[in-house]
Amino acid sequence: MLDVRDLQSNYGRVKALRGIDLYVEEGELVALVGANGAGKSTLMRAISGVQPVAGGAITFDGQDITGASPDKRVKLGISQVPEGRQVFAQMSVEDNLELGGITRPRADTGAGIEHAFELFPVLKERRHQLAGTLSGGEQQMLAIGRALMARPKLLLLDEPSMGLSPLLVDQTFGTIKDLAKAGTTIFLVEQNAFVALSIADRGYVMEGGQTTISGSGEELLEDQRVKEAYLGI
Amino acid sequence: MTPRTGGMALLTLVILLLPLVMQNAFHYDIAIITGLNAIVCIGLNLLIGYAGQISLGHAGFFALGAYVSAILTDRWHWDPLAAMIIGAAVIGLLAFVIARPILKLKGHYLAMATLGMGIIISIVLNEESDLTGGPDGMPVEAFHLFGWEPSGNLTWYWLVAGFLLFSVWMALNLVHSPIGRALRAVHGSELAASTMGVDTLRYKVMIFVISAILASLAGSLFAHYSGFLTPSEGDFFRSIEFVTMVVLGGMASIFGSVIGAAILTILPQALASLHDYEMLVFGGVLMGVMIFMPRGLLPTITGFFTARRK
Repeated sequence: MLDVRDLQSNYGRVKALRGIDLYVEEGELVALVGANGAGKSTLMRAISGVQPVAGGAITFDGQDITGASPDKRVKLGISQVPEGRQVFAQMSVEDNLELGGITRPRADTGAGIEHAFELFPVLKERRHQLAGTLSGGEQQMLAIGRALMARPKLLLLDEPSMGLSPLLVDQTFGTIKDLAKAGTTIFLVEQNAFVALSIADRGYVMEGGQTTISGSGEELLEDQRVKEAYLGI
Repeated sequence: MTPRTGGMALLTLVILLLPLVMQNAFHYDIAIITGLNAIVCIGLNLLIGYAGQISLGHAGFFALGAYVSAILTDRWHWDPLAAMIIGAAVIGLLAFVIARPILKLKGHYLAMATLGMGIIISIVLNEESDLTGGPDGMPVEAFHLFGWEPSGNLTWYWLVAGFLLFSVWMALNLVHSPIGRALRAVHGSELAASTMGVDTLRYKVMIFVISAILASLAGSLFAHYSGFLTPSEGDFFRSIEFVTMVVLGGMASIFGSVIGAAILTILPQALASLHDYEMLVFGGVLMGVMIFMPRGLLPTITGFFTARRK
């Protein structure tokens, strides 16, 4: 479904992505793990179209989207939960959700919101509250709910554990797992290698702007190099 | 009754009652100028307060609208209404062409670009003296609508009032539609908005064009009302004045823009009796409001009342 070939991207003279190769099949949950500064977020930004690409190609559903605008990609079915959640603090919970459905026909909005409320009942209680007044965990739920409003074929999650307490991290990853079970294709990047790989069908390890190791989630969790570098065992 | 319809009703009431209070032509003149300024500010507030983009050149659109109306009716004897509508369409198109490249800029750079745009328009109006009369200005023909000619202050007052109410109504509908939501998202974070599927440039350009058209229409009416135009209507200080009205009244507050326009139009006249100290007091009032009410007048006042009610 998503195919990234030899993707390169630079910040000025600094090479952030040095040729990334990865793919995500329909129905898979794929996790990409790596340390701070490995280029994970740059990769996410490149896939969602807000980061200039210096070389390589991104294909989605057989269509080359390397040069497509961010909103075009959303319309094609790629939706994102951005790093740090990025909810619109000055807008109500409901408005945030409705905004997530901006690429959909207006008739779908109501059903989408109901779906988000079923998934996260707390959002229903706080529907008229400003998103900025929610707790970190609730904001994460809102960001996920908002991304689902676009009815994505592929859901991207950038550092979903960031800034959450251990309990909330477990909850969030539980939700992600449930979404995957329900048939959503998911690609996530994460610093917390253990939680991410535990729920992933497949995984990649990223170092210095390149994907170095790949395999199934369990394989990577057992891999000696991964254990030493990311799990501290 | 929502705050929206309540505000509309209140504004209509004030407009209806004002003629009972106003005693002379001078009062009417100030009210009419306030209305025209408010129309420009409503458009500008959509751009600044909602979409989060700055323009330091909107007086340029106001003056262009005024001059297009003046030139088409005076030199080519066009019908004033047709001149006004064609003018707004042409200026809207011009704004569209300018907007696409400059709205890719952000913050200070956008301010510089719009400033440059305003200055260029101002220079053209000054220098093209064959068409515009240059710094000496040019006379403008009287307005007429299908043979009816608004004459006298009261008629002009109702005409501008109607147009103002229409602008407020349109702006309120716009900001409470999905477009308004997208604009606020662009304001919140352009990057996040674009990853939600919002075509950010398209929305920014759209609102820039709408605000330019409103400024142009207000300019056309101003030209016919005042009967005489000088390039100073389009200079840098006018642009700054419009932005100040928006900020003073309250960002992202449509009614705030009307109040901001009213205060900044009335205050200099009211302070005229202070002679040399006029600008001192004027500046002091502005600084005071911004220090004690940084969100602008109306949002601060309504915020105060809703907080007390709870």
